Amino acid sequence: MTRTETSTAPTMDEQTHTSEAESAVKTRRVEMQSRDAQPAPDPSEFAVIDAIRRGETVPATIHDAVEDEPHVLNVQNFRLWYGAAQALFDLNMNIPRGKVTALIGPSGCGKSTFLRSINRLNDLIPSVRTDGELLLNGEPVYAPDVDVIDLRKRMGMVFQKSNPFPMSIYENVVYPLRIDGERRKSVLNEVCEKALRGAAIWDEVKDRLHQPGTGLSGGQQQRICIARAIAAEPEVLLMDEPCSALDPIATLKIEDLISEIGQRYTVVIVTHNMQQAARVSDYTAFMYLGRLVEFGPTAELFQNPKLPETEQYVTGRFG
Amino acid sequence: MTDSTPTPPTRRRTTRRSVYLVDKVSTLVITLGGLVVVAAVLGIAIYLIGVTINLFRPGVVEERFVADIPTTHRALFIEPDEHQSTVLRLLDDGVLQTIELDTGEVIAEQDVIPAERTITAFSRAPRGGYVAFGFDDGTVQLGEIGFDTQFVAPSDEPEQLKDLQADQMRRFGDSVATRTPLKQLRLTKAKVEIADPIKLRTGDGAVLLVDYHADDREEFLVAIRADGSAAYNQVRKIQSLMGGAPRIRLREYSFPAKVDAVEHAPQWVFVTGDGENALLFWVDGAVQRYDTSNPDSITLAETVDVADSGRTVTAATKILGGNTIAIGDDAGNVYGYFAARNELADTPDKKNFVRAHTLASQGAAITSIGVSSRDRTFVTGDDRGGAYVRNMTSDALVTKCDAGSPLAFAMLMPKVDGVLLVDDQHRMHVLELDPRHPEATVGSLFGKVWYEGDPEPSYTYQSSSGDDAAEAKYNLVPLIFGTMKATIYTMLISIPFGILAAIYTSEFLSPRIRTSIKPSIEMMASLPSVVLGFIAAMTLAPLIRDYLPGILLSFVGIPIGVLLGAYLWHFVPVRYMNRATAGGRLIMIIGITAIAAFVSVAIGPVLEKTFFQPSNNDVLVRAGGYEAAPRDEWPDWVQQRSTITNSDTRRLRQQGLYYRNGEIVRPAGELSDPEIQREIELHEYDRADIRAWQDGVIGGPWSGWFLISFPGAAIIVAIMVTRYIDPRLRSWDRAFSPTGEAGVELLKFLTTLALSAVVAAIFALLLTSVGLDARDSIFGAFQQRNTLVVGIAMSVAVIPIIYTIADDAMTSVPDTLRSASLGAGATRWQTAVRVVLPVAMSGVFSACMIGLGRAAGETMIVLMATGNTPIMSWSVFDGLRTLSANIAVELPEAPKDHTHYRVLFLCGLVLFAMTFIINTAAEIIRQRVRKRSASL
Repeated sequence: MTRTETSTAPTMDEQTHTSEAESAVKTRRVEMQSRDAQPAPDPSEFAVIDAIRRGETVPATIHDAVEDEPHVLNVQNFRLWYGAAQALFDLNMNIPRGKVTALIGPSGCGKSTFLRSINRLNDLIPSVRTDGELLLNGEPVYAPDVDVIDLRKRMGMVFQKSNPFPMSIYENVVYPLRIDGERRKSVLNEVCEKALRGAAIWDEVKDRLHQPGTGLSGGQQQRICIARAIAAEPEVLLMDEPCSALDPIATLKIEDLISEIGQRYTVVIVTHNMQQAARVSDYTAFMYLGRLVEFGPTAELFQNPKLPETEQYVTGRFG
Repeated sequence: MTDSTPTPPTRRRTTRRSVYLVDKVSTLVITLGGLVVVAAVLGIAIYLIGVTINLFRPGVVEERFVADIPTTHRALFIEPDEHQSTVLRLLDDGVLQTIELDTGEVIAEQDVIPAERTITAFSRAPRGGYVAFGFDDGTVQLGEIGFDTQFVAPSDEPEQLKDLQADQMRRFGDSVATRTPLKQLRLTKAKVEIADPIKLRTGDGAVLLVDYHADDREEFLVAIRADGSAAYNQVRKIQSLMGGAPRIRLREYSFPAKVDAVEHAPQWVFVTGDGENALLFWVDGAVQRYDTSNPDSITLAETVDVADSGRTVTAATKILGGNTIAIGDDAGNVYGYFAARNELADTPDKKNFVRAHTLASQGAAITSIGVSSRDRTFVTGDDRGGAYVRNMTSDALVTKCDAGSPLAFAMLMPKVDGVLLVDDQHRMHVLELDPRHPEATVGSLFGKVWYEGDPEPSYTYQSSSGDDAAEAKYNLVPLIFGTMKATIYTMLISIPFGILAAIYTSEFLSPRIRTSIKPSIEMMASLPSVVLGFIAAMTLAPLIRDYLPGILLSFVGIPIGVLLGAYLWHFVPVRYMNRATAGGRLIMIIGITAIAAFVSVAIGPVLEKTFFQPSNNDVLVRAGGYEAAPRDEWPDWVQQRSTITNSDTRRLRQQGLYYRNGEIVRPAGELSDPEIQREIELHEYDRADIRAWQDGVIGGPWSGWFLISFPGAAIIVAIMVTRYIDPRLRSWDRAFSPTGEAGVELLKFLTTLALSAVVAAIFALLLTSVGLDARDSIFGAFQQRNTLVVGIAMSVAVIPIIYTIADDAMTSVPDTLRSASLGAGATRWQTAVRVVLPVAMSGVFSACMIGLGRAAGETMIVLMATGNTPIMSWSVFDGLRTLSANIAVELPEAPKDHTHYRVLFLCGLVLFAMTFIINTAAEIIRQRVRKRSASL
């Protein structure tokens, strides 16, 4: 009952707007209904979840397709504590290069924490402690001789709430270059246009590049932030629930954009919205209480997951 | 589902009465409170305006009555008493009449001078009733004619005066009896003390003109005789032990006056109040000024023409103090003249008799000038009956009145509360006067005023002095200047420190350390300012005096040291660098700063030796090896100077000339001369000394300019390097190892420093070559209580305020922005400067403005640490006086409702207006800034 409500509510909204949105939603609804038809699984099948709840170490179920891909990130026994509380447990996963990987899981499962561990934004929290290794294109992220600033330059990040800087659209986009001291107008102009085109917002803002970025709508602001993130040609683009603060139309645009960006960049996206994960990602990782549960190609994970828990979660029966 | 849930207890859905009541009452109380606050602030402003507005209102004069005082003689002087009951009139036959003011009736007459003696000259000082008579037999008589006022005890009151009511007056014998409002009986009569005649030794014939100046300290007499000879006398009074009139001794100095007493006799003679000038005035405006400062050799200092062409001088009188002469001409023009100091005047006494005041013309020949005995107010009467009440200091026309027929005498009542005019029909017009505050006008409070004796008009504040005769100088410009100067220098120190500290704690420091550091900085704000002032005056000021070169150097040395430390830090491998905790870094920075400060102070003397070493000529001249420079060697610009200022001295020195003991000299002699050697050793003239440099005794402008322009040059060079050199370096600096890169950076830094020195040197040469000298502006002579001390001490009070508010503003910047910037690979500093600071700008701006308000209104620190000298100089090493300190210092000595009192209120109002304008402007700017970042 709850599930039907959550899935139809946005549908109604979207239907009233664009026909494009309408057709997409319809397809999805069909999928939902087909899943609804399946019988409710026996609770005794939730062995993995129960084990995790008891705090036991359970090896993650990782599909072979993931391992066959070339990897941009190798996570090895990664653990993280906030003070005394452990938030991430022995993560082992390899994130495929040039694909969109979605991290899903119930609130507090550590997906955002994990995402912020990749570019070491968690370092800013004094109580955070980590263990294990994370390799970005084979180079360690957590080694003692790593320059964090240089490391972060290799990644781009898009946040939950759009956060353009209080400067012009142009300056927002070229910010990563500016901080590197780039002053050549030609380079900056080229990067700006390319990034804005890449974020599918060039046509909307090309006449007002020198107006403040804060004057745009929420969706536009978020696309500016995406443009800013891809301006420096990142090796990985990290997205932390980029659509959660947006209206459905803007969400749809961003989702389309993510799919498109996914052709060129490696994207790791954290999302609460299962449909979003299904629509934009190539691979999906399901996390629960700081552990990786199942990781595989999105289509497989959603339609034919190996674990019943995953199925229950993606169909909205728990979590 | 609803069946199983128990029905909740019924809930009242109406709001209770008491809730409404509380709402109403609180609304009322809050509204009332708000209104009271607004009313209180407005009330203060209105009260201040109310008190000060009186300063600018014109005086009021109102005719009370007219009384006839007929006589067939010429009156030598007419003088009312201070209670306006009696008038004295001295006639030219030597008879003194006591006249009842209300009726004009003569109630007593006495012979002051025996009728057989012929008075040929007469003078009376504006104050004290001192008179001098000159006679046809060549004798003079000095004395006092004034009033004798006695209060009668109730028991001794004569029977016929017992029924006298308050404020009534009645004739009583040769006195006038008045009952004061306090029911006391007062008897007023003439008091005459005339000494015996003294024969003047100088010259021959009648005494033509005489002027007698007397005050508590010294007495002078100048007399001109019929044969044109002149005598300057110092008067000595010998008080007899037996009582009675004192005996008078004259020490007479005759001097060769160039006077043709027969054909072209002078009309007036004056001896100035300081006794240094004797002035002879002719009707045609010619004035001879004799320098009498050395009575043994009195010389004609200069001859000037005080009248405009075609005009004749019709009246001339000394103003209170005796140094300024008010003259009126036949067209009604009124001028004020005095002998002004002028270092380069060709007169032997370096003074010029100048027209310092030009007052409003009254359109008809001036016949009489009456001066006040309390201030510089005077009244001028003309031959059409007009009388103008004026003030000499402010040139103000206080008020005017009209008697209808030509005036013979115009005078002010002693308390300046009335005007007494006598016309050619011997009618006495008595007018009531309220001059209000004639010395204060917009012009005299905020414009340049030429004060008595000064070389030129100036902004001067000097409210109180020994006695009334001194000119009150209420010019607020030096105080406003002082307030601004103290504020600006304070803000120059506290804004960078406050904001950088806020950036440091909000962006760099771990929250744990921040929670303990922030309250302790805030605690600094609660230090009583009197304690800060005391420490500044007693500890900081001597410290700065003793370690001046080192302290100056540390302003540059500490930043360089910290930057050097940062560049060296880059040599540390990243793996160790990453291990440093925030606390560890903090300790490291403190250590580096301390080392840099120590090194700066330690190498201060080296700097002094390098830059402030006197040249051989400097040493030679200071040790006495010089001779007067012939006038044709003087540069042209010196000829036009009225005074030789410090800056002129320094300009002269650039041309190889010096200014010693009031004359322009050139070096002479040899350093090896044993005499000179001894002097040099005794006074250490050959020692490098920054304070001697500041005083302008040694050295040229270059070294000062170099030191001042170095920081600016460093900033410019650094910008140039990042703009033009960095992009080039970038293309090949990837090739270096981290250590190599750090080496390149350090090399770049050192090159920047060296380049900055070169740029600063060139810039200093340029400034020197166009004739500018830092010692004229920001680097002047050293005073121990100076603006640097105040700036530092006040910063201790202001920095915590700026810091706290700026830190709050920056801390409240959303973390998402910080994450976005850091996530894009920005450093913390880049994040702070490019993202956090712009977002927090409105708060940071408020912080600065609140700090500014605090600095502008601060009293105790400036009071104790500045020396309170109301001078206008931008020099960091000069003192100052602020509006607030002025109020604090002078309020106890300002009598209520006196001009001084109201001027102090005006200081308050100006301060109020200044802070109001600053705050309003700040608020407008802040709103703009906030609007820009509002959408975040």
